[in-house]
Amino acid sequence: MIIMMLGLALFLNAFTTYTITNQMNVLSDLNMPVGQGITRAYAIQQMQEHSFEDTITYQKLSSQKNYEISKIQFESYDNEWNYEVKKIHDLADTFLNYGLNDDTIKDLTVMSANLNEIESIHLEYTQKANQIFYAYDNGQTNDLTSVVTAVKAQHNQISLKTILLNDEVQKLTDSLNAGVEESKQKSFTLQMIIIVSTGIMSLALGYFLNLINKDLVHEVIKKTRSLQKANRKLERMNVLKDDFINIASHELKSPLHPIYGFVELARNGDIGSEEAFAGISKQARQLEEVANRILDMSRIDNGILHLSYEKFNLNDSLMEIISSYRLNLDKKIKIETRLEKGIDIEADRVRIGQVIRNLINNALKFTEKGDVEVTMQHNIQKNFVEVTISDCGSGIHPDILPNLFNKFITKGPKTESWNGNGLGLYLSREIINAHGGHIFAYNNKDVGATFKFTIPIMRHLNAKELHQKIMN
Amino acid sequence: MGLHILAADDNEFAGLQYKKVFEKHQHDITVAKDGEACVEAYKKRLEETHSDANPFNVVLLDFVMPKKNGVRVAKEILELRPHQKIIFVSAFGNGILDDAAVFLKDDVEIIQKPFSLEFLVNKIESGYALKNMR
Repeated sequence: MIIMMLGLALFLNAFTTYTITNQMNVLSDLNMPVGQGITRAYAIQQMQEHSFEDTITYQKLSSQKNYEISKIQFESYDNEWNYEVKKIHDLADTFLNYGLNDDTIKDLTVMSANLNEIESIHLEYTQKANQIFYAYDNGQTNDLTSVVTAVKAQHNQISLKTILLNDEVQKLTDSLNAGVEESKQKSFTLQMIIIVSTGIMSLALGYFLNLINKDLVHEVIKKTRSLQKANRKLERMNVLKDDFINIASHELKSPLHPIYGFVELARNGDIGSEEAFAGISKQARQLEEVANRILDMSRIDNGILHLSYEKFNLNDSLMEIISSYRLNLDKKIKIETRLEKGIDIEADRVRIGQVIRNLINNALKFTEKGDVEVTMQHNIQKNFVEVTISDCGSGIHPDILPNLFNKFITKGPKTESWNGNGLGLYLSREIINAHGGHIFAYNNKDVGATFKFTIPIMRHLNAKELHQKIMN
Repeated sequence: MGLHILAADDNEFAGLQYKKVFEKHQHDITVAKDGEACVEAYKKRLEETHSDANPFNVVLLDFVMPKKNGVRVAKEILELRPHQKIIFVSAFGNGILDDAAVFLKDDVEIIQKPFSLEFLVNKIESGYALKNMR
């Protein structure tokens, strides 16, 4: 746009300059020679008149010789005058070839007409003079006064008209000059307007470009930061993924090892087949559990953990799970229960059972001897049940505690006290959160750790929102 | 002649199977269910024997165990007896063990799960026989 405007300005400038130069040419070509010619014609006219007067004087003095000389001079001035006027005519005609405006052409035509008039008067003047000379030459001296007077009158007329013509030429020059000035002025104004508007537009454009540029810089910085953040996250995720693959392969391989062992021992007759089958099926269930956890995690990550709500008695569920643990329990460990009067809740029974098993597993894993205590309380007014599982084990390491429920938060296999696959508590938290509840853990004052979760008694229509509200 | 073996594995079945197969081959085996129990068992036998010889011919360690992992158990045992023969049993690929392998000595070996019990017995018996022949 700016370049276009500047181009236009330059073009106009060139055009104007061309016009001005053209007119200047006309002026110099026209005025100088025409003006000079007219001045010369005037001077010749004066001299011709002098010669004419001389012939009359010499004729009166009967100085034949001087009379003849004067007469010859008169004729030569006549020729000179005619020649000069013809030159002016020729010049005036050539001017028409220049690209002149209408006014100038009109002026030129008027000038030409006036020149023609002068020419014709001059012709009469010469004829009358020659008439007088003819009379003189034939000795007729009478009745010439009137003719002489007429000649003089014509001379005066020619002189006057020549002066007027000169004025006209001057006027033409002035008008041309004025035209040049005008077009100069016009082009200057136009150029100024174009330059100023181009300037304003450039400034405005610059300002907006600057604004856009600032925005762009901000945008780029912002995007770069978010990309760096995303990249760091991806790098972290990649490390986690590597860890996860190692952990998953470990978790899947671990139960396989005793399966092979059972097969081998049974084949060699070292153990009975019943014992082997029982062991194998238990290991197979463990494998299934690992596979399910991995599946659950991917469901949660993809946001497709669906809860199937049903009404069930929470105490019944708790007792069922706890009894199954009690069967295989070490004598040193006891599971104690403190359950409030049984209550029906609306929740995903299988998932809640999964969470409870997870928490009891954790508690047993870290407790060598003593009690694991399971407590259930409810608050019907506030619509929640609270399940607490408390152990008297080694407690949670302070480094782990803040991130306890995050994915893969265990100490990794490369560090010293690594346990579990790091998915159990993550899954538990996601399940409880999906119910609109929350789960948390703390170390007991004396010994061990406590895990606690609350969920609504009656299914909450907007569980996610409720969870957010509790968290805030 | 029987060997004295200490095996630590948090999988109770794995522990039982070690016990079964080594006892079948007339070896004496102590099974620990986690890292801490393993270190305790080692110390206990060290005190009982009152001898300069290593209390166990071989210590079998699972890599991943509650309370103390295999690497930490190995460190503690090697502090007590720098030339104790230790065999790590791991379900991890070798890659994960590279870091740990830095401090591992000639007396320390790694076997990847799964393997057959007879293979383990043969490996321990032949390794021990070889050492005695030197």
